[in-house]
Amino acid sequence: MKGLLSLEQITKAYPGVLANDAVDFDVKPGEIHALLGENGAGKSTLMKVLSGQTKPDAGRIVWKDQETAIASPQASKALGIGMVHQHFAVFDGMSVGENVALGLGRDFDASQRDSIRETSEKYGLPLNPDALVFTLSAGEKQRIEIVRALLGEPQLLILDEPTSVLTPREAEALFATLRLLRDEGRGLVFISHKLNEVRALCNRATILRGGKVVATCVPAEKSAEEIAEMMIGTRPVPTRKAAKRIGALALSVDGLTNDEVSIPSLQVSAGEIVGVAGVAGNGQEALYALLSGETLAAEASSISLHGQTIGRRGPGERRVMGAAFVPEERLGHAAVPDFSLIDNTLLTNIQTEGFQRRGLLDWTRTREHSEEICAGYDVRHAGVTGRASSLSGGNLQKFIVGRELIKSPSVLVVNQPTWGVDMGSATNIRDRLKALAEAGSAVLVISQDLDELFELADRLCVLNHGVLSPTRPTADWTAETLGVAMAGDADRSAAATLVEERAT
Amino acid sequence: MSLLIIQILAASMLLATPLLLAAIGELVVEKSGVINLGVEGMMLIGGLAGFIALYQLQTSICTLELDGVCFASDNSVNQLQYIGALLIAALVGAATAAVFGFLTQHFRANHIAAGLGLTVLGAGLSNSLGGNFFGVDYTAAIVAKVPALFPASWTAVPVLGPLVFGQNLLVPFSFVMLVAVWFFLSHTRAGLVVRAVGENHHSAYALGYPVILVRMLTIMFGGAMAGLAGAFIVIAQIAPKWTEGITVGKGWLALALILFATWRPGRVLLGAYIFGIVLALEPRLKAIFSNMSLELSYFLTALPYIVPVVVLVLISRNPVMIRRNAPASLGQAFEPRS
Repeated sequence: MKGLLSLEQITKAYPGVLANDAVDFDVKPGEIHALLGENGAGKSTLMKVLSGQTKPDAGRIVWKDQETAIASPQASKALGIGMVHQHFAVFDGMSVGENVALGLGRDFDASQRDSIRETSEKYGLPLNPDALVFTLSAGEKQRIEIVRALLGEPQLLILDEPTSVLTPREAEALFATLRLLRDEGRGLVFISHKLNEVRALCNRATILRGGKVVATCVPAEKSAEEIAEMMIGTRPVPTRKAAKRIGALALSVDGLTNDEVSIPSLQVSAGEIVGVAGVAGNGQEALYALLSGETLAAEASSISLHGQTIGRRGPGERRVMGAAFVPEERLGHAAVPDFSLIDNTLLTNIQTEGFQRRGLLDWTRTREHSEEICAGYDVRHAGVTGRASSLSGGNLQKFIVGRELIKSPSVLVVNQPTWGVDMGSATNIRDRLKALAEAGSAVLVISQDLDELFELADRLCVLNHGVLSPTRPTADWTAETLGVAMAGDADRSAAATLVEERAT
Repeated sequence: MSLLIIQILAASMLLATPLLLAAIGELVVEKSGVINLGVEGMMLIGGLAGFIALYQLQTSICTLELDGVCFASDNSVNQLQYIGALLIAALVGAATAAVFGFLTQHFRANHIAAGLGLTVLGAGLSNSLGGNFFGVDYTAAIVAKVPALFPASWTAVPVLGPLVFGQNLLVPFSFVMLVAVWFFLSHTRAGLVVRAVGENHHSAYALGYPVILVRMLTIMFGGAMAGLAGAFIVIAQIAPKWTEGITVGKGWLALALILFATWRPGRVLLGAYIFGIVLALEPRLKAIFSNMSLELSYFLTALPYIVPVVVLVLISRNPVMIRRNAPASLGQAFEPRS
């Protein structure tokens, strides 16, 4: 048997875009093959062909030396292809165990409960089979996907950006699992934006750009910069941090506490970026909700915006006062998936000058405004009347961030600004955040991405088990001290992994 | 006093059973993510079909015949004939639902519009077919009363007699179906798949489950149960008698019960029986307090429709349980993402 899977000359067109243009891609047994490319490069389409969710317009699929057609997701599963979806195929209203059982086509019973516990422990993906999914974090939801795929014993496992929500330690444990699976003779397709991960893990890499294969290489033999250049065509140059002019205190938190988080003190002044580091599930959502006004503080005085106490004011009032907010979840929180980009723009920017005339909406003006956002923030789209859910993750994130930045907010609170976003878009978004601070706005960035925080933030603090540490200048933090603070004293090993991460 | 309680309970069973049957069926439909507002229409069509079937199946001995035309007859019905009529009612109910299923699942019609259309169709079609369409005016047709399940001597037994032995076959059947549906949804793989399809049809499709097939099956099950509910009202609740619009909004009440019971079978049962008991109380209270004011009497008439909703809303406020039980894809047309 030469190959496990071979895709030959796969072509798939959607209205207005050629998503896959004569793509060749193959996986051998016992290898991890990376599929790289920016969002919109055609990776997702190619994987949908493999998982039976879409049929190619042209091209051959060869599975174990036999030409085959993958007509449906069932057919894909029957062949032995397992899938870990980027947009989790999980059922929020059900328990973890029920979700796993559904993925395997089995009953959820006591033995199932044991096998979930076993597998999740073996692979370092802790999961409680009886937990309800809607109570879990994004990272925990992803673990369901991974555990479910592993329990299905697939011969080919496709992982679509599996590490985007994992902590470094979880990612390391996952890589150990993936190497084990590879050594068992399975084929793996690994889709990621994190080039260092790809270089460390993958045997081969195929790079897509604009729906075409631009290169196939051994990633370990290339530098991350060389691979990035193949992906986006030009070498990304990180912008240098300009000297900051720190202005007046803009956002101030004093003794803010609820059931989930405790923030003794936090100050963000005009012109600076303050970063909040922390591993997912340590209270980031609760902190964001308190700052944005989605959850009201118990005391009005515990949050101040430009010297006014706002703890008891809702998100709308805070926005009117010049603040803007970008939540973590793109679809369903920041944007309504089935609304057009215009409607989504209106949701946060309804107060913008000229949108309402005598109480009625001016659709021409709102349309122009949405187009300005897309043009100004490099949102690649098929028209502003298209649904938000039709945009790729990176483009939607640029749209959501652009929608807030176009108002030049005096205070911006952003949670996970580049979560699951391709490198080009992430660089773009970070540059915009830096520009906003340089223009004199106060910016608070909550992120799990340490590289991002070290690049952006002037001052850093850490959220651990819901408690926010004091803020210190970024230069005073080392990766080690930050890692220890993030992991807490109880978990030195996580800190050690983080330190290794930074060292390599 | 205890005799009054038993009378009320026995009467409430007659009143609650059609509601329970229709609601159990629609509960499964909604758990799969489909909202079929045509319950009322399916009940009418199924009820008429059951009535016509029983009219044709009943044993009829002519007692007065002149020139080959029968002027008076002695009709009787046995349990087997009754079961046959119920099967017809269920089948016709399922077939009616299949029309809705075909429109919403294959042509992706809006669930609300298709369901309302089915209600209107059911009312109109049952009116004309039950009129004189088949050469028989069914509003004037005479069908014998369905006998009790057990011998008459058994029904004389105190308590158990009126509550158990004297009841119609569909009363115990409604309890069996309630338990079966609860078990199916919470303890079987197929039930898990139904819930998954209702919770997130895109995820279910991505995992390889046949979303449209599952929904077609649940829709037809819901139709069969609505057909039985209609047949119970027409044939068994009082005496067999077809009248236009005989269901008088019970289908809508069943839909409301599911919503207020937050899709939990046990609470649907509770709601249906609160309705039945309050409705059974009404004439008795009016008889006792014969000098009550007109306003109070109207209020008493409205009470059966108010009490179950208030009780269910009050006991089902837990947002976690609602999130756990409410089908998140309810009413959305499923189109595989390309």
